[in-house]
Amino acid sequence: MELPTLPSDPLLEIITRFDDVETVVRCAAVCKPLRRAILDPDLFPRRLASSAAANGGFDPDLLLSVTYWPLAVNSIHSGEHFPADAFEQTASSRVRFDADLLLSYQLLSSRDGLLVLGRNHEAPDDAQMSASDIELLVCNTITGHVTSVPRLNHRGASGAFRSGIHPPVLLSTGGGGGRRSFELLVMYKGDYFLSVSREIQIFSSQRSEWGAARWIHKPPRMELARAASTVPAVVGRTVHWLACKDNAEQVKFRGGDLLILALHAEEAQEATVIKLPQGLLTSLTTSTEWEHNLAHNLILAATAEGKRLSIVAAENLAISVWTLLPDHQEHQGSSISWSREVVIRRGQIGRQLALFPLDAYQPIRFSAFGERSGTVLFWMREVGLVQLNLGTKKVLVIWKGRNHNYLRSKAFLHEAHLVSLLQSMKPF
Amino acid sequence: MASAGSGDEKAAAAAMITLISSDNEKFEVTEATATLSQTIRHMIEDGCTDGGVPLPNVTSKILARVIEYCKKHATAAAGEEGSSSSFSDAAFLEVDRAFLEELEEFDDAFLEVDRATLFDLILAANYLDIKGLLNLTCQKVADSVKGKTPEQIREMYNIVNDLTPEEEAEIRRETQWAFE
Repeated sequence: MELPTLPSDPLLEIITRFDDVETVVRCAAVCKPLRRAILDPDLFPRRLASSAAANGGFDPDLLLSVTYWPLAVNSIHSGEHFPADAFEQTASSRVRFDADLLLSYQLLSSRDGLLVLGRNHEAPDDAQMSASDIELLVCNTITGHVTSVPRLNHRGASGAFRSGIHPPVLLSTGGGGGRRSFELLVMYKGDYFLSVSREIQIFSSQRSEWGAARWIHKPPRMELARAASTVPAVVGRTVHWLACKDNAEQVKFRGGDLLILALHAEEAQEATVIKLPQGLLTSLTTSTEWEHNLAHNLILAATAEGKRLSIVAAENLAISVWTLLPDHQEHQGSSISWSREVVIRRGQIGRQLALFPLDAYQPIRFSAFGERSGTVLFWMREVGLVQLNLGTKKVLVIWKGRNHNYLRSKAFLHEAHLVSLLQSMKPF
Repeated sequence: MASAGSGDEKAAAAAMITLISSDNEKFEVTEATATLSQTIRHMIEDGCTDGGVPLPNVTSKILARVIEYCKKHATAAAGEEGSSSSFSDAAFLEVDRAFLEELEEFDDAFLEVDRATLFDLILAANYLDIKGLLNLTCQKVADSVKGKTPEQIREMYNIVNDLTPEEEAEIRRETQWAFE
């Protein structure tokens, strides 16, 4: 018996109900009409966008999994250190990633479905990775494909080669589709804290090589903040890091010492400074723990489908999102203005998680932000690892425990970026 | 409201709509049942339902099923409206929950059909613009496809593969990971 052909309306009704990337891709391989319906930019992607709009521009379904190290061990030689086998991963059949790689590599950064892993052959436990010895892998957790990035070959006049790199930034991710195009931006650490220049280099997977190194001027006496700076936010071609003035890495710094350093990947010779809103700085949770600093309360985030820069902040009474207003983005000084939106009040977190009332006000340290699903991950003293969705405002405890190392524990998340995956597929 | 007693027959007749299937079978349904279809609701508002509503795209077999669905869900809608004034909140919630459970059971049983019927139901729900029925049937198809290979999907829904072997090979290369 011949089945009737479905017109595109009910067909889309069916397709938009798939909650996994794999089924969408397989259906696009069934026949041409179905493939066209799935890949047509005016149909399916528009549907996705409208369902995301209902959740503040995020699609919670695109969060695939979370990898985390609940327990850090202190070592005199290398500072924080994570036993290789002490990681956990939330169950997901939708992530293709050989977790055994984490036994010999460190997870340095993640964006969309891509993970950047690195290891130092000379000194595997050394947190200070020296540029010449570092071996980088980029793992696509949607396709399972692993790209080995060539060694950094640059030998700058700064001698930066010896002093290592900041965690690499995934400048673009190409949707993690079949063509797997991505770009990795690396900023070298300087020899001297006081020096005003740093070098950056960009690796392009399409060219399979590192581009020429480029000097960037930065304000003097300023370094990327260690706390949350491992998670920079990329808006368009501009990378934003949380940075701090003076040698604040070791001391508990004052709010005024925190800044955002913005750097355009190609155009600018100079990193721009964006000041944090004053109202934000006075509302942050402080803790008597000497290791806790204000930067732990913040994480930078690309919002509005990657078009806006935001800060997710753990305030005394709430978790809020501060978004840089577009009109003021060109100004480089005091006139920059931000909008503030409360995502969830501390008391509501306590009620949703059935915490003891006081525990809802415990210090928080952010670990990761996912721009597709709108998920933030944070460690909360006395509670554990918590996941919050900015769109649905739902909180969830991923790892429960009175984690005394909450200031040093790590967590990363894996996301899919369905629209750009579809764009990377070829229509017939 | 006051005239309901005197014009009983007339009022009841006025609230009935005749639906005519493609094979010319006539179905008498209440207006409440018929207006679950947005298309028919608009027709009624326009006053164009005298002499019945011909549905050239829907067979009597499928129309009977669609009406069965609409009757059940129209009762559900009416039940919600009616009970809110006559029950205390707690009692209302209790009734509500029991009713929703019953409705879910009905929906599950309703979907126990072969795939050709399921597709016909989708087409009818789309044509008549019955949101609940469209949701229900589309979700059923989406669930049935999950985890299946393209070959299995073609077989299940009798879809002709119009991709050339070259195109298929290219798709496999491009998104190999999804087929492992």
